[in-house]
Amino acid sequence: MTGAGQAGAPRPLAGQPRPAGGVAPGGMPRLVACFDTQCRVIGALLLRELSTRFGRENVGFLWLFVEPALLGGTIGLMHHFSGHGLPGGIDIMSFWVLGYIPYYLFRAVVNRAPSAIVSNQSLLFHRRITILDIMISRNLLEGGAVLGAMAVFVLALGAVTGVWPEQPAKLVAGMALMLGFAHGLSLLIAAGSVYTDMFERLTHLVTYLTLPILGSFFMVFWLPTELQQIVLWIPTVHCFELVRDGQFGSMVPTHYDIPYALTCIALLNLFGLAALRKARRDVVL
Amino acid sequence: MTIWTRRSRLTEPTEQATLAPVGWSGPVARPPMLGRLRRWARRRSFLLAVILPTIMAGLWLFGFAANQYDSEARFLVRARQTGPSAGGLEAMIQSAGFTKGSEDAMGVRDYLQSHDVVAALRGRLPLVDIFRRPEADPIARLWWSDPSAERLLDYFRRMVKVQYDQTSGISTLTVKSFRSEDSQALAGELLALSEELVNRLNARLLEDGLRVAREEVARAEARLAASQSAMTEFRDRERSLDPSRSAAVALENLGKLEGSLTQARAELAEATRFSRADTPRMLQLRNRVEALSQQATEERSRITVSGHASTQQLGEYERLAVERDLARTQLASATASLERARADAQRQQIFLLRVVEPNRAEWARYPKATETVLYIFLCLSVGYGLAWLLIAGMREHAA
Repeated sequence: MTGAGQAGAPRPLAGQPRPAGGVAPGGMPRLVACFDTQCRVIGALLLRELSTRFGRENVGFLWLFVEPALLGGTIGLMHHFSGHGLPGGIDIMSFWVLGYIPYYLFRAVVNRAPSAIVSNQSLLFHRRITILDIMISRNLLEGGAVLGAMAVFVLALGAVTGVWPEQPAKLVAGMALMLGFAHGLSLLIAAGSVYTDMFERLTHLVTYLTLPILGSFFMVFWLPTELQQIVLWIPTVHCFELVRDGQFGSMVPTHYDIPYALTCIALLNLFGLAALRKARRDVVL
Repeated sequence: MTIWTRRSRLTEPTEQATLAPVGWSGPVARPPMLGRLRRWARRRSFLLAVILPTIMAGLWLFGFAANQYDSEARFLVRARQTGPSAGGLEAMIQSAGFTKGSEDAMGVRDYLQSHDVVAALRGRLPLVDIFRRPEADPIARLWWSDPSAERLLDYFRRMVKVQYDQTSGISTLTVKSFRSEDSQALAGELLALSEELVNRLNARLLEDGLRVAREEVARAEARLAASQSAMTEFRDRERSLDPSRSAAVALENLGKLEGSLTQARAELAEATRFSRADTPRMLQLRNRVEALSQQATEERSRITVSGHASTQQLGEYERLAVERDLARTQLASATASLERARADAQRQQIFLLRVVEPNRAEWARYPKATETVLYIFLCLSVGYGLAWLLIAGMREHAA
């Protein structure tokens, strides 16, 4: 995404129309120009989000990476020292860490969705900032942070145990799928939170209760076939399996269906976007 | 709303366009072809992006796509007895209802999707011809008339699916092709090939398990034969079947002689008491004692003279006998362990049991035209909706 990096030279953030080239002959602003503006808005929102969440004091937004890393690491270490093995002979530490970190992403994105609009309501006075921009910037921030934490972990595990990911691209793809899924869900929740407080109350509960079935702490091949077929209906299971395929490769059998996961993500995002469009009219500023 | 008119030769189009009063454009230049097309496309975007592709896919699938018949077979891969179960978490998982798949079944599954099976099939069936039947449509059929092994394998994997059900242990083989008899033949051949694979594996298992035991038996046999021939050689050389026995016989002879001698002496002593020395009985007795004592002396001297030699002989003989007995025991135990190994190997043997024979389809299940068209329509609609919403979101950022 174009964050602060692209806007090296001070550019007008919003308000003034961009100079020539942005407007088509028909008077219709070019889509590219709109997209460019949206990217700059999102980049600016990212920076704002960063400083409002973590401030500039002490380590500041280093916490962004440290938080998931600490949680994932502790869980991994706990299981590492409790010492029971896993079927398939996979490394205990990397299994739990790689199960926990994508889940952390999911939880962080979904749990922060209900408060997204309320906490950024004042920004909506600016014409160019839309709710979608706010959601995208928040979720991207979360995704980037968790991906960073994951990279640190994978590197550290590789350095300690000597086992490097088989296909790093699949790790990233799995995380991207997870982010897409969580993003779609967060759009729906954010839209819903405009109408009722229920989402704020229930989201934490639901993310906590669904933890066992999301797929973070089991592998599909451990289950009997009937259960496998049921479990594979859950889209997040595919994300976790993809991440594990990237890490462990052919060491363990993995089951995932990327088209299915993509379909789920597309549907969720479609409904989320539509709901957000509806909710926008009903937001009380 | 603008009304487009034909371009007039006299007027300057751009000026006219900009100066035209609102609501009436006046004679405006006909926009260039590309622009018009773009405008039209923008207005009819749903038609273009969703309806048109769906209609085209529907036309193809309903009108032109060739029928594909599927044939299904099911089989079990099973060992007579499973190996010792592992402890720890694995046992826990098994007891909790989680099952570990059978390696043999997975091996057969992997074999059925390997280049190996494709190569073997090509030797038996005209695989490329089957996938390029004249009735096949140009999209679904194998595109190359002389495909490389990899392309053929990719196509083969698309047409042949093997699924393994961990709970029941049943593998399902599904074959698609353009003729129902082709599908059936392919499925049958694949089953036969997997049976051959299982047999090969069994032979290999049996061979590996028995090889060590067989070698052991051969070694024991050789040892026994060597000890026997050493014994024979010994007997030939020493001219004695059994030195210990012949020594015993000699000793027994000596004992008998000594006994008879003692008895004869006693009779002689008894006779000397009440008869003269020249009676025939006395003479007979004396002669007998003399003969017996001579015989005994001879015998004793023979034993004593050959004493050293016969002890040596005896020692060697004992060694040979012990060697022979050991060789016999070894052979017996080696034979027993061979039997055991054979039984073990037979217990470890795997079987491929056909549960469902490949069927001949009467009705083409594929391509599932209605489902596919619906699926395409839904996917495109979702994609269109997403794109529309995203673009609308972008437009809100317009200056």
